[in-house]
Amino acid sequence: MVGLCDADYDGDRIERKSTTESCQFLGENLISWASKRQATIALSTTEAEYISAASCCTQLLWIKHQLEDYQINENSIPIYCDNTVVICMSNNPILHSRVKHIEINHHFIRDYVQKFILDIQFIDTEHQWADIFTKPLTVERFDFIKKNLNMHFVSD
Amino acid sequence: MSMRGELKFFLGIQINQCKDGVYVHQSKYTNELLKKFKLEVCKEMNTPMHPTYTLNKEDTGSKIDQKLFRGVVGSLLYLTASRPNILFSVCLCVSFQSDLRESHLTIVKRIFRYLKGTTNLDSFIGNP
Repeated sequence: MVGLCDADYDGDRIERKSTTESCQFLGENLISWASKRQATIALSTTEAEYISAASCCTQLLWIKHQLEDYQINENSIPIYCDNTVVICMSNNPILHSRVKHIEINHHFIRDYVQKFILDIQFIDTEHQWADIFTKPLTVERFDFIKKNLNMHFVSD
Repeated sequence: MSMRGELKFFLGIQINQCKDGVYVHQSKYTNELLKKFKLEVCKEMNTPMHPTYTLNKEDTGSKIDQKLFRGVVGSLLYLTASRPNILFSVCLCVSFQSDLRESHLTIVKRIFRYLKGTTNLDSFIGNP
């Protein structure tokens, strides 16, 4: 199982809120996806990405619990994120001055990383499939991601 | 009504079960939508949204029927069940519900023009 998360900072031009987007794969298959405006206004791109990583984490935990019913136990589930600061923040629970204000419920991701249930890793923007849920894309990029999300044309 | 046999059609979602996996698509639903909103004849598009376009609150432009817009967007929301690729553009339209102008409807029409070209697109769930 793999989770991908991304955020669009300042995605909403009117209220200046950011957008969370995440998708989860089970093996090769896309099983769950989301594109949602965040409830709070983020002050930095990192904060927006961090909040989106936390929401991706909740979804992964739910799927993990569902899989446990079928005796499938997964640990160190990778979450791919294209922001290195988010990875540092979740691995190292030090209070940085720029992230003091982030609500405590977004920090729960740290707890799971320390218990080795989740593992946050870096992914380059080229292979960040969650991009399709963030912004309108060009034809080439759109078709490329679409193919990687396992979407095809049926012939019937 | 018999409920036995292989699952083929459920709540507008068509399911094709093959040897290599399961194909999930809503081509019948998509065609019905195009028919319902009288957009069967339109120019096809490659993407559901222009790469540089942003949707804004607007004061200019003529007002449009709010009820119609909500109906269209609601129908599109159901379509995201098998089409993650239009999720972003549909969600953007969802965030506008009142004081709608012509420009909002243009965005929705563009999504339909994309759908027109890709009615038989499906999500594939392969066997492990």
